[in-house]
Amino acid sequence: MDRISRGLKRMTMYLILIAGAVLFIFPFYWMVLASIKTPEEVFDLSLIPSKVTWDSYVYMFDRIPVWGSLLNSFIFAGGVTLITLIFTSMAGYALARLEFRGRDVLFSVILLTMMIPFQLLMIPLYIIVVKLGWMNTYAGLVLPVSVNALGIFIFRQFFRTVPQELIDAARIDGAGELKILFRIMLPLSKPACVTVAIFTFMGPWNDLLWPLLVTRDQEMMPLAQAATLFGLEGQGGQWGSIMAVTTILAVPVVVLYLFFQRYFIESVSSTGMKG
Amino acid sequence: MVKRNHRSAYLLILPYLLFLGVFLIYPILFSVWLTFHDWNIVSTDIPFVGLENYKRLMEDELFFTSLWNTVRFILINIPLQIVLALLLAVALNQPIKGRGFFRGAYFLPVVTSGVVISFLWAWMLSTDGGIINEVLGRIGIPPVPWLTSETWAIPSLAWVAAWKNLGYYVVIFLAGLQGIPKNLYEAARMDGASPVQNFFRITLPMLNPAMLLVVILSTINGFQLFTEPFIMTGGGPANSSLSVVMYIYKNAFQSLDMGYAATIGLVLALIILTVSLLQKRFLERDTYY
Amino acid sequence: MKKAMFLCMSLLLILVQTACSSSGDSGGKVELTYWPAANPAEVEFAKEVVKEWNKKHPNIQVKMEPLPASRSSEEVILTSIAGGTTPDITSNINPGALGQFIEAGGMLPIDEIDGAMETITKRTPKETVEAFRSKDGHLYQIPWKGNPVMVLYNKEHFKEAGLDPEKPDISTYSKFLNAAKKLKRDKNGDGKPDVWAINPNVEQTWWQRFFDFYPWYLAATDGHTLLKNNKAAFNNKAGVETVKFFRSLFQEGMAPKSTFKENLFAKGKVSMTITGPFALADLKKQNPDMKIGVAPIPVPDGQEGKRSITYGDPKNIGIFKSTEHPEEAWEFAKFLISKENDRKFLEITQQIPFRKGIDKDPATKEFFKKNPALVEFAEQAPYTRATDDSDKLTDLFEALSLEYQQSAIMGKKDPRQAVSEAEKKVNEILAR
Repeated sequence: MDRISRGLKRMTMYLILIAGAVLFIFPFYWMVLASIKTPEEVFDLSLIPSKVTWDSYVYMFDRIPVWGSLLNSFIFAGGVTLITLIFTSMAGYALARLEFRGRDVLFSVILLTMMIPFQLLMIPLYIIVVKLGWMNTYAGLVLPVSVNALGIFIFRQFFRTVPQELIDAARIDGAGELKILFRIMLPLSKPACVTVAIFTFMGPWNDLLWPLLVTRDQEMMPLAQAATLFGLEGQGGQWGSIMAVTTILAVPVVVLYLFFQRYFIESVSSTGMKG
Repeated sequence: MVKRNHRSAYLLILPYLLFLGVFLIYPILFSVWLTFHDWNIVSTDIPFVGLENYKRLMEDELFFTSLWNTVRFILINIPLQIVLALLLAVALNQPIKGRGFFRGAYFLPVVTSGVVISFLWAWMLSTDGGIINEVLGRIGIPPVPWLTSETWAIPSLAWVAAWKNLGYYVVIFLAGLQGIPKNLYEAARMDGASPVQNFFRITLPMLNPAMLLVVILSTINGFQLFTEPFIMTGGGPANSSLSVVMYIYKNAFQSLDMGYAATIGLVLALIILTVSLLQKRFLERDTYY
Repeated sequence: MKKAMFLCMSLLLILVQTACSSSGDSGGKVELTYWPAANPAEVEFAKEVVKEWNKKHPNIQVKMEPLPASRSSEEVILTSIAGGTTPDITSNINPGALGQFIEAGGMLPIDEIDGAMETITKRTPKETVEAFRSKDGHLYQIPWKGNPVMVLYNKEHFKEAGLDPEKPDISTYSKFLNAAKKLKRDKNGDGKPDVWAINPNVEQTWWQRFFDFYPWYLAATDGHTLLKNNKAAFNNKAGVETVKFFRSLFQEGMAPKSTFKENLFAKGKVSMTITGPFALADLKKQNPDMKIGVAPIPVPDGQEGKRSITYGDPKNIGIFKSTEHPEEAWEFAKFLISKENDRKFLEITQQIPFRKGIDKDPATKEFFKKNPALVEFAEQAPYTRATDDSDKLTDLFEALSLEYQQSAIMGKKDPRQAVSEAEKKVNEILAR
């Protein structure tokens, strides 16, 4: 009796999990499917297209500079990530391993800045970008959103676990603090680097609001913005080609995710922070 | 040695602090200054208007509509998220095969851009020809105007946001579940408690900190609602899905009313901060997390 | 330490440099940036014209960039004025939003350019030009082209529904609604219509009302715009009747209450659509065999008899104050509105330039003969109105749009109440 009820319970659990998986994966399948269906079939419920066509992709490539936008996305997300990695690891190292006056106060202040919502900053940041003449430039896109306290938090946490002897030995060899950071601390902290990089990269890659404010020139738009404007355009936009552009937008991050799945998920459960 | 540490420490932090000063501290002060002025960003004449912007806010029906829409969104989004995430997390916490696959699948929308998800669901939810209504139609349910009626627009957006973030909260709940000591359940079994009793007497109370985290995170997230309504409904119909952030955007870029837009931004930030502080107090009371 | 610092600094420098290098030097040559509207036909026209210009003027090179897409091109222009990223010249100025652009200090007064007024009035009837003059007495726009808003219908559908496909009688509200009832069809018998009579847009976006409420209101009032003496003047019988008309269409299921991405009219899923001549080119591409009829905007019962007035959807050329080469920009504008290019524009985009006697010109006659639908639009062109000159037009239409949506589309508010609340809100906005 007990075994039967246990089996039943397992069945239910599997059913729930499979239903969940379908719920989460099917829409993506439906999206890719729509992008390769013929316009006549797009509204059909058929799960396998009778004919595969690339027309939607051709149409989309015709209308928006997809490659340029992808490059812009890489520069935007990559630039923010690079700056964040360098500057927050430096600050994180100082906060973790060096003694100096005001350290704890500074750290609390930095933690406090994590609570400032972007909505408070968006108007002044936009005005700053305009006044600096940074509209429609990579500088305007990247620099104002490269302040990221999460990196400091993670690096500080990680650097504290590195044995002091390693640092002392390097100092005796005459290494400066930056050399210690880049030659010893960072190579030992690959998981921290990957976590910070992933979380930082995803933000700008997926972001719509900030590019919407500071890039108004088609040639400078990251793909998330270009896709949005393409999709919202009244005339000529068709679901097939909209699904084609969203597919292209989703692919890089999904690939990244499949490779680094562990980091994505572990960092959520360990920090409880939102990327 | 200690002296050396001093100088290089400041040098190491300096670049970050520069960023912090220019792109965070200064904008905050600037923002406060803006709320007392009337400026279209172009004119060189920037009149000081005192509390005019705040007064206007208090009388602005549309602001309160947008605030109410956002609150409604949060109130639907959170329970939906918690119930589903909890269900999936409990199922995942069993000794089963393929846990990694399932967890990975649920997390997929979390990493995907809100832009992708908004268009995808806008299409699936379209009244005529959308897959949801087509399937409902097969079982005799007339088409529901998911995104084009005042009744359904916010619930639809709340569902889409829940779908996007669910995997994230499943992971948090799962971490919480795995932290519950096994011996609690064993003791309960000795007392002859049923699995359902176990869930309500042990699991739920022990998950309290995770629950709070989820509630607070989704509240903060909810107040920042922008991409989904911007793409899926444009704030309509009849402003019934206009979010506060969309309203800021509207004031700033359709009317060039920077002072007023900054005022709404400041008030929204204060609302979010109050919620976050409440979070901190709740979470600190419980040292579990 | 120094090395890494250097690395960071050079990274910053690269970023900053990209910010400053955008305004590269051109070595004596003048470079102008020109924004045409982003729809395919206008971009095609712009490409051809710019190519020709650049060949003729090696020292004034024009760079063509279609207006960046957005929910509204007015927002793009306004934010580019705010952000200091305006081009030199654009041909997508909506006169209704121009007030806002002037208010933001973005536009160059055209009438101050030597000889400009002469050229403009030679091409366009004087009263049309004067109607575009702003309140401060200056002319900030070069009248360019219009798109009279009319009703397109599918002749095939009309025949199937037992209506006269050549001269359908849909000139009054009740006649129009009667026809619409016949046109709405449920082909597969599942209880919901598969072919609707007409598809007015259901979105709240302010300019969508240029294609439903506004032309209907103009027709019903014989051409009165919404404001009078800077006050709302539309809370009258015509305003209420207009909302009632659309309310019947939506509430009796003759019009779909959802948004579509595809062109329903081209796909034969709707029998009528409200649009301007610009839609013809795209329709021809999507459905070359379709037989299209054109009808004027209907009027309330008892007012029929003469040609109804409609919204002209004018788009004009504007030169931005930020330009460093106003004279060259004007030269290019002159080229855009030359006789040859007006003809080219008509043929490529099927829109109607504001040029005297364009439909009588022997060179264009042949083209009109081949496109009978376009003749109807050209004949309607003199019977059009623009919008009121107000720097708050966006907000006004937004307020109106909201009430319209609640009453007509959602069927919640009584039309009378909706119109009077719109009046109240509009007056509040105007007083601000």
